Amino acid sequence: MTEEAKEKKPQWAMVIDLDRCTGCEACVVACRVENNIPTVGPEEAAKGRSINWIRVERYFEGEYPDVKVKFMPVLCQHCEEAPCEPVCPVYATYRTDEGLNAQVYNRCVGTRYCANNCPYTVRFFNFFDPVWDAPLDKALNPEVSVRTRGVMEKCTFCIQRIRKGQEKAKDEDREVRDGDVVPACVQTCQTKAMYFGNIADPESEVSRLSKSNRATRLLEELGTKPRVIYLNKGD
Amino acid sequence: MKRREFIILSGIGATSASLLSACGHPEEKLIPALIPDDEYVPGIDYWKASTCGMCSAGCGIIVRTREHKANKIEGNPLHPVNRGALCARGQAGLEVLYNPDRIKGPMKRIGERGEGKWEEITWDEAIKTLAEKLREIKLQGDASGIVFATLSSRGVIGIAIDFLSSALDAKFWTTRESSSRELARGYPLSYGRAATPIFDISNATYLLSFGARFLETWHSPVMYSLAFGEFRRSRGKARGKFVQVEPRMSMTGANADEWLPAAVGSEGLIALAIAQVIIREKLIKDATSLKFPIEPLDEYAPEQTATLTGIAAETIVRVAREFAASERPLAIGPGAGSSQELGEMDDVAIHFLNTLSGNINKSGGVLLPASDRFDAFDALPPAEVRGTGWWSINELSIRINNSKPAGLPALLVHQVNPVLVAPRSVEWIEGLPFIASFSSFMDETTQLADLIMPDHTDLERWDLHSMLMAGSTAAVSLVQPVVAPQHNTMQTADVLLAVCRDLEFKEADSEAYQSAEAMVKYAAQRLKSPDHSSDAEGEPLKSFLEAGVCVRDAPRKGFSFEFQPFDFSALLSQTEATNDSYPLTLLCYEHASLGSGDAANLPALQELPDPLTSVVWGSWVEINPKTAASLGVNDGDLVEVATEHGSVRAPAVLYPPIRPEVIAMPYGQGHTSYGRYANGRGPNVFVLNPFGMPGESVRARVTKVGGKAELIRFGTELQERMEKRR
Amino acid sequence: MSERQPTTAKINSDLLGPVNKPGRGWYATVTVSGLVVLAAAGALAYQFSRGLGVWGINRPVFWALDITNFVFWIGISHAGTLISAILRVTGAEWRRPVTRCAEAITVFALMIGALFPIIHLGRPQLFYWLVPYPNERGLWPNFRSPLAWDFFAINTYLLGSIIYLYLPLIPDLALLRDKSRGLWRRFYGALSLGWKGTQLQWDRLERAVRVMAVVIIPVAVSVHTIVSWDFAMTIRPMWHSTMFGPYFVAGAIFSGIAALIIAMAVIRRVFHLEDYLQPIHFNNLGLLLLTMSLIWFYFTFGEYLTTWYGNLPDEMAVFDSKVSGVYSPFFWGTVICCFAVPAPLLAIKRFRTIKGTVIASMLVVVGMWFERFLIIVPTLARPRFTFNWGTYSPTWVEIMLTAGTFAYFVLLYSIFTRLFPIIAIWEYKEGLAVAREPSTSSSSVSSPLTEST
Ligand SMILES: Nc1nc2c(c(=O)[nH]1)N[C@H]1C(S)=C(S)[C@@H](COP(=O)(O)OP(=O)(O)OC[C@H]3O[C@@H](n4cnc5c(=O)[nH]c(N)nc54)[C@H](O)[C@@H]3O)O[C@H]1N2
Ligand SMILES: Nc1nc2c(c(=O)[nH]1)N[C@H]1C(S)=C(S)[C@@H](COP(=O)(O)OP(=O)(O)OC[C@H]3O[C@@H](n4cnc5c(=O)[nH]c(N)nc54)[C@H](O)[C@@H]3O)O[C@H]1N2
Ligand code: SF4
Ligand code: SF4
Ligand code: SF4
Ligand code: SF4
Ligand code: SF4
Ligand SMILES: [Mo]
Repeated sequence: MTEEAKEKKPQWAMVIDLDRCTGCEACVVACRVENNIPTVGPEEAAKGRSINWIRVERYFEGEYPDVKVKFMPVLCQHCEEAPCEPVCPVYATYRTDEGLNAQVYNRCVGTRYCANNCPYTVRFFNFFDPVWDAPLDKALNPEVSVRTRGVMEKCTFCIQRIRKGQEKAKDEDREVRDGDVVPACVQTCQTKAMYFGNIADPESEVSRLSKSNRATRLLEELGTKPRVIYLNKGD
Repeated sequence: MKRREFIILSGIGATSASLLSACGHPEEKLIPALIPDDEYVPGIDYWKASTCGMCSAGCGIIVRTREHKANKIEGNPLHPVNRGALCARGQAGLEVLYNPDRIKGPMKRIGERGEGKWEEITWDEAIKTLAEKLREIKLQGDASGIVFATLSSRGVIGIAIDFLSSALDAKFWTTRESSSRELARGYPLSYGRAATPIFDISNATYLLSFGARFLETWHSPVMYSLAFGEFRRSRGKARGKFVQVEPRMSMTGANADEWLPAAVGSEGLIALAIAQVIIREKLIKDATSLKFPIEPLDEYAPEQTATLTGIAAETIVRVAREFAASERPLAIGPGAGSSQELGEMDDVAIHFLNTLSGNINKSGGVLLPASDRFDAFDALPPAEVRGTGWWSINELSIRINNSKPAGLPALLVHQVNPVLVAPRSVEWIEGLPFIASFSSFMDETTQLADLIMPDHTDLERWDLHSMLMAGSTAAVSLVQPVVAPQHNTMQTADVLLAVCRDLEFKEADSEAYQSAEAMVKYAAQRLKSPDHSSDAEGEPLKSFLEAGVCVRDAPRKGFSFEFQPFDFSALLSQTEATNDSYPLTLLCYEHASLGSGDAANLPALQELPDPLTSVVWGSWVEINPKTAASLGVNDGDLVEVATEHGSVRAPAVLYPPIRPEVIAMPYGQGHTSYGRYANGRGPNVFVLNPFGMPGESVRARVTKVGGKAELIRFGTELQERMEKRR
Repeated sequence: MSERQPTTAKINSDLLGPVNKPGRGWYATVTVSGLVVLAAAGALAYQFSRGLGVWGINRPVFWALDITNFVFWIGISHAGTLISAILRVTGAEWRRPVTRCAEAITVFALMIGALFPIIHLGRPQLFYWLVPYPNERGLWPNFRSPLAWDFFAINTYLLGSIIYLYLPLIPDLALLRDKSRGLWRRFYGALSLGWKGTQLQWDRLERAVRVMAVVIIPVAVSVHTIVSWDFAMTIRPMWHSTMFGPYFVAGAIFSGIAALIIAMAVIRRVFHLEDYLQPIHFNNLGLLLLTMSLIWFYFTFGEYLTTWYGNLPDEMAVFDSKVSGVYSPFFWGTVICCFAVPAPLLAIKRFRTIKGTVIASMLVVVGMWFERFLIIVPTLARPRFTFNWGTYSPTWVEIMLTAGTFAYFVLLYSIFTRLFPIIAIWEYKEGLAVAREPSTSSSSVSSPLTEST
């Protein structure tokens, strides 16, 4: 890490290589189990209420026999200029000094305004209280709070893992190194299509990849300045 | 500490803080007054290494536990198969352990068979009952008619079954896994050894796959997904090109740069057509290395077979040139299609391309294991046991149904569910005098049992997975309990050993064979040494229990194999079995996450959208939009799919990437007794082709029927796009 | 105005009639609407106990009938104060029997509309977190959020319109006080604030009413502008529009007038006030309604034309769903209800009767409700990434709550007419005086009618 980067707070960012991603959705399940995301069951799923902090969008292009498929994992983009933030009347969603779009469940009153203004549709609402049929609740991650009915939730960039990585570095009396913090989705990714790190550190993997000529951001034209960078297919 | 101090400060002076920060972004300072997640001080985690049991690939896992509860499974970064990654199924593994519908302890039937009335019993009683029953059968001289249905013939269960059959002095009817790995009959003919080769996808530059769903099912999805990532992008290597040949685009096919929708069963012909182009255009790189006469294969020229394969000759010629010109081309397969009648021939044709391009045992090519067989349990002290014959569950069912052996005395069933996956087996199962199930769940077969002796789940038991890896190494992967058993269950191998002891089978008394745990530890202590001698300090055992995996040299066997030219002409004379009442071809495939149905009781996987159709919590039929239009079927309509074996109803999904004369259905649902998450979630597709092997196609008919279809999708793009197109 | 000049006593008895002797119809109305309100309250209680999941909202349609009703009722509220204030400020003489009727609509419609931002919360028990007050959480609401603006706008408007309803009510309250006995006398006595009808009191009242009339107009305009900004401030296709402010205000006045016409027709019929609410009032309001219909159409046309011409894919997804897709029945229904039928109906003098205007108004009210629905739901159902497109259909709870709002409105209004004269007695008398004395210009109505008390 350069001296300059050390002084500043880390700025977390993710890179997703669409050329590697196969659409396998291992990341989706990993996120669910890591972050205590409840399943809602068939009736609720039919109403469009299932929760996936990260999802893999699938697009068909062309007609038989020239059909092409595009897979695109979408999670909260942790926008630098997040449209979800200013509209929240109670500051339940806000920007942290580490560049995360944080969500304080205890603060949220459930207007759903933020979700309406998120251009990526990555915010999920708890229409009912979550249920884990016992003993499935034993598998809940003790480091992630279970959200109650009426509050909004979304990808946190696995904040608990960020904190853990930082604590560990502190315990070992050193700086947080590239690769110390690995969110659950990145950890499990079967093709290593995802990268996570400090984009303020010019030597980090995410910084390096974000300068690739394949790098784009979703809906860049909206000026949201996402912290998730996508690498396009092709050379 | 800084943060916490600030909380206290801002707590006291909340109002003044807000006044001070009236300009700028006050929320930045104010929010920490509440304690959000990021302030949580983490406790201490204990990680335990084991092996994923959700499929046979054997990925290494590490399980995060806190306060004696497991709360997350992750890939073991040290493991050579999965290097830290896991698939969706593996990630959902804790839902098996903590499944609310597990059988909580041994039970015996008190009502009529299938009525579902049970009485709890003790393990002593259960073991006594089973031993008594088996002794009785043995005395009657019927023991060789016992059917022992299990998923795997390997590991501790295989040993225990061998013990039991010896204790009863009988040769059981036994089932084993019927996975595509085992079914690929072409490998020995192509490469001269029984063990499955490893395809070095990561270093290949051109990948031609014949229906292999290597990214989702097939041999080892995580291992090959990792390789695929490197195939796509790795430093200092050009992006590889990937061509998939299959009639219905799978998720794997969806990742291909080019999809060749070949007619069902024409993989072999396509491979031969490509070979023909390579030969006729003299594109073989190193013709001298080929030790067999190269025939021109003219009758397989793409121009000749285009009508059979449905792929234009120009396309084949182009692909052949690309394949031959590429630096490290690789052909893989077979897909499930190879279990068809002529599958063997298809397989050899596919792998002939590798022989032609000379990529065997080369980087980016086919890496052959150094041996046919490797089993860490070979280190166990020799025991006098007899082997049993092994068939796949369908083969077994066919055999039994065909030969109708009189008076089969008993069925013992472990980790398989023949009533679901081989529906016609009900014919003989229902009449059996005695059925014992070792299932952890009340599945459709267990429902018929007289005695239920629930097994530990994967995260509670002991075992070893032995696997041959590339580069003449072998890996031993440990299965060990990560938490104490959650219920009054017992590992089936231990039950069988106890029964053996009750039957006074003396081999089961020896120290090493006391229990699954004893076997594992005994073998684990001798992992590194080729002569199986124990390691005095016991260090290797400790580090093995910690690391969960051990990589060592594979035993070597000298092979002398020369590829033999093959007569493929039968492929040309294949006549399409046309049938006017069944105008379509039905392909069935393993659901990407629910598999054949074993994972249907896991809510996280039921609610995981299918990668291509986005369907959750249900089943469906994929139909080409043009075909659907001709049948008057709209997206989401309820249709009936009928074959000569049976019919089921499911909602239609208009699916662009499938041949018009083909329809496809996933397995995975169809349970009537598999717990709250699985029951009633769609039809049992196995009834459409009850004697099939994975991927065996069958003629079918689709008719629109009235009634409400339950089609739940997470994403909607497909449907909307269809609406627009019309 | 009317040819006959009724006596003061007749005016008093006619206009106090509903207050003194409500009649059977009144009881029936109150019973029926009361029952529907109770049922809706039951639905609400069910919603509070189970969670918002009992609604049909989902991802991505996070708002639906809740916000539709919110916007609709806030719109209706513009009947009122805005119309009466404009008429007052411009000195339109024919306004006199209309103003109270309109002002009451405002207050009740606002009360109902303002319920929705509370009950639509995921955690409604915490609604007060939107209120700025020093608290142990050390947090103010986020003043950057249009929802916080709503809070201020609606409360200001509600307060303003209550005052605006109340001030001109004072002389009539005094009249009621003088004519009643016992508890009622004390009730009206307290409310009339010791009104004696002195010149000074009249002067102050007149001045206060005039000031309020001027003040309330920008407040009302701002309220619906801010409501429109709930949408326009976002970056959602077909919400993010600069003309949403005036578009919403025009729509609000439009639906407000329609509601007023319906209310007047009902009152006229039920309380036999044919002498007071005359065809001329309906004719004039009908003309206003026609104007607003044209303005509404102009805005709608402008909004959709620019979207269509701009042809941005994200916007077109919403546009298509409204104009030719799943929501097109509602869209074209709205155009028919708000323009295609009412505009000709109101433009042709022969049809601008009481019946004609009432029919037009009913269509407009229905049309404007669907217009609100159409602004909200299609945009939400068509997020930018098509993978996330959704649908919406309401549940019985939402339908019950919607029915409840109408019933609640009727109930509150009925109770109001039972307690207070729905036509401002003194204003009406003043109007007669003005008519008798043409020299007194309408803008300088300073001579109060003292004989009433
Ligand atoms: N994630 C996951 N992985 C698994 C499993 C799982 O359930 N889930 N199960 C494991 C097991 S037990 C097995 S057996 C393997 C199975 O894995 P595979 O051998 O890959 O078999 P299927 O997944 O059934 O895939 C069948 C494929 O062949 C096509 N197909 C079907 N019929 C025909 C035909 O007649 N001709 C041709 N040419 N193609 C056809 C189908 O469209 C589909 O693409 O996967 C193993 N790995
Ligand atoms: N027509 C046709 N037939 C086929 C196939 C096909 O493609 N077409 N595919 C074949 C193939 S490849 C396969 S692999 C088989 C699949 O056949 P099976 O392996 O029989 O099917 P599963 O549904 O996986 O059954 C697994 C059962 O194990 C039990 N179980 C789950 N966990 C545990 C545990 O921890 N311990 C114990 N003891 N039991 C447990 C569950 O009750 C479950 O019902 O089907 C075969 N049959
Ligand atoms: S992606 Fe959506 S939720 Fe995430 S920061 Fe951006 S606007 Fe907010
Ligand atoms: S739902 Fe919660 S986080 Fe979102 S805007 Fe409303 S209060 Fe804020
Ligand atoms: S970063 Fe963490 S919270 Fe976000 S999608 Fe990945 S696993 Fe889920
Ligand atoms: S785990 Fe990786 S490869 Fe699989 S869908 Fe997620 S990002 Fe793509
Ligand atoms: S491939 Fe998936 S299910 Fe199979 S062992 Fe690996 S992680 Fe487990
Ligand atoms: Mo299998």
